[in-house]
Amino acid sequence: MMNIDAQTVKKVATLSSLALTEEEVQQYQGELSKVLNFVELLNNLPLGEIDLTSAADVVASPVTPTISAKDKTPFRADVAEMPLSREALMRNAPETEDGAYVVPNIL
Amino acid sequence: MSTALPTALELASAIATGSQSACAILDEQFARIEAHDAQIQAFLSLNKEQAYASAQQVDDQVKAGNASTLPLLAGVPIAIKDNLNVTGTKTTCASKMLESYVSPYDATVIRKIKAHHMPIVGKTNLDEFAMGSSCEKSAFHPSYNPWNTACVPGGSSGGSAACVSAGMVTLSLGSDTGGSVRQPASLCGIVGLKPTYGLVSRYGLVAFASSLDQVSPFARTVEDTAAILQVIAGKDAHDMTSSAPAVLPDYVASAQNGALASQLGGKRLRVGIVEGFEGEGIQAGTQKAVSDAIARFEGLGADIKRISLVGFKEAIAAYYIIATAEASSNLARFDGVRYGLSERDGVENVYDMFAKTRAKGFGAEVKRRILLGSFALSAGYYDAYYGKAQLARKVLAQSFNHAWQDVDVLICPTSPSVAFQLGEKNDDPISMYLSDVATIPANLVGIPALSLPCGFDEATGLPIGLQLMVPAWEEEKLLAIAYAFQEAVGLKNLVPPAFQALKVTV
Repeated sequence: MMNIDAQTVKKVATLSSLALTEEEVQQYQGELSKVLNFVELLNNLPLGEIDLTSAADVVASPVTPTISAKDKTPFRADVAEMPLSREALMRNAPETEDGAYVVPNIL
Repeated sequence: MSTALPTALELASAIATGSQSACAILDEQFARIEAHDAQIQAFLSLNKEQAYASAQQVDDQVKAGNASTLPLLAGVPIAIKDNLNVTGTKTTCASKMLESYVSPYDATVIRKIKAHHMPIVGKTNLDEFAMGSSCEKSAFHPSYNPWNTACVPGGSSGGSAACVSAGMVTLSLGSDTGGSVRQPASLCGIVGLKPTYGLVSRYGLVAFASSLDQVSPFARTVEDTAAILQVIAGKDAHDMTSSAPAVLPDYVASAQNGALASQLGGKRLRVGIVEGFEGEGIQAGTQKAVSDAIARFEGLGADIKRISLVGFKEAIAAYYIIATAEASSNLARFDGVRYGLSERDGVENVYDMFAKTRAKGFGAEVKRRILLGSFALSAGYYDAYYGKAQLARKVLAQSFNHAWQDVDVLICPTSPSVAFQLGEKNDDPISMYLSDVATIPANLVGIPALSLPCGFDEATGLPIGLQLMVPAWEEEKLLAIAYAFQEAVGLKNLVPPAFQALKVTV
């Protein structure tokens, strides 16, 4: 059984940049423990026999180094393109000044 | 139970032959949206101005005598899940975090839809950031199933499924990370296709789990599904994980009579039934519909074989580690600096602003997944969770590769149950997660999978979906099999009786 404690939830919340209330810490402590116990299902599988770096069984996804047999490492031409304008990109910003984002104190 | 509502290809043909104008069709689709969406709540925003401009362009082309040069599906209205960027429209992901975000660019699939002059009628509801299986986790409002409005339409692409099911449009786009298109297609009695990972560009889709996400279409027939796939598929320089062939196959030609025979080259179709969907946890009506489907395939002259896939049932456990790990990283971008919600009142410093913005902007399910993902990637737990989940993904890929030596297609129910009631699965996240037990494996191994109606549950009268899975890049064969099945079972272009009154004429 995997039961995570309140301290672990708080540590993970810090890693996730999420401010949690004490009630939320309690709630997620229970829920995350439940999900992690569910994940124990994976122990039913013969995982010891697997070589993640072998290309024998291809998954069509970027997670394994072999994307697909016909399209190994994709390259693109190194050509400069015109990106969106600064104005277009900054239109959704909460606060800007002289073409820069404004944020609260960093130090 | 077929209806008089036209399909997307019928609309396209009416426009091209001049029997109906694109603007008149748009009028009728908006009339249906106005008549029905108060009840279904599929849409988060409508996009009339852009839609009519696009329809007008098509009508001008027809008037100028250029109908024969119109691209596929020109003038056919489409709805878009609200996690795909459309320039100048809100893209909220059904989250308070992005409530006022206006897209400065088009997703690649949107660029293609615009190039085909398809009017975009509006943006549809979803579970917040595509995280959910019921559409109840939208920060704004739930959507409702047109077959029974006490029930969910499924999710996360619930709005996109419901608006096609209720005949408000003939086509829509969703995104499928663990079944978010196939499961709602199943619950709403329509067709949903998750293409091979890489066949459709993800550029401009707000990322949830990048190794699993795939933009995926909904339609009411297999033919329409093939047509919209033809429009959106293709390699894209903006998405380095897209890897489609340089020249796309003719998907439309795959969804017609005789296509299956030519795909099989004279051989018999070999159908594999995924074991594990006969007993506990699978509704009786669903089990019956699947055994009827097997009989249909026998009627089509198929060889039937039961296939046990190691890791199929466990895939869901691997998924909830891999998807949340990727989500915790992808959603780190929502920090209140460049776009979206920003909590500035009473914050001590920038880090405090990040944490309070994210606390306020994200809903409970999104927070739960970010926390789980950060945990699975954190020091001390990485190997036991993330590492193990990646190994399980490989085990599953081996199982599928082994199965393809014996069968052309694998079938199972898309969802363990028909549409459930709103609120029914809200107390227990695991019970909600289990709705995706049959759909998740295709995302983990990247293969294409399609859900189409195979029957109705006698007890509830709700539609049941059958899932077909084939090897990567075999969309042509998948569509040909789906088309043959659709014609055999006779369930196509389904619209619930309550939504058949208001006609769209062609």
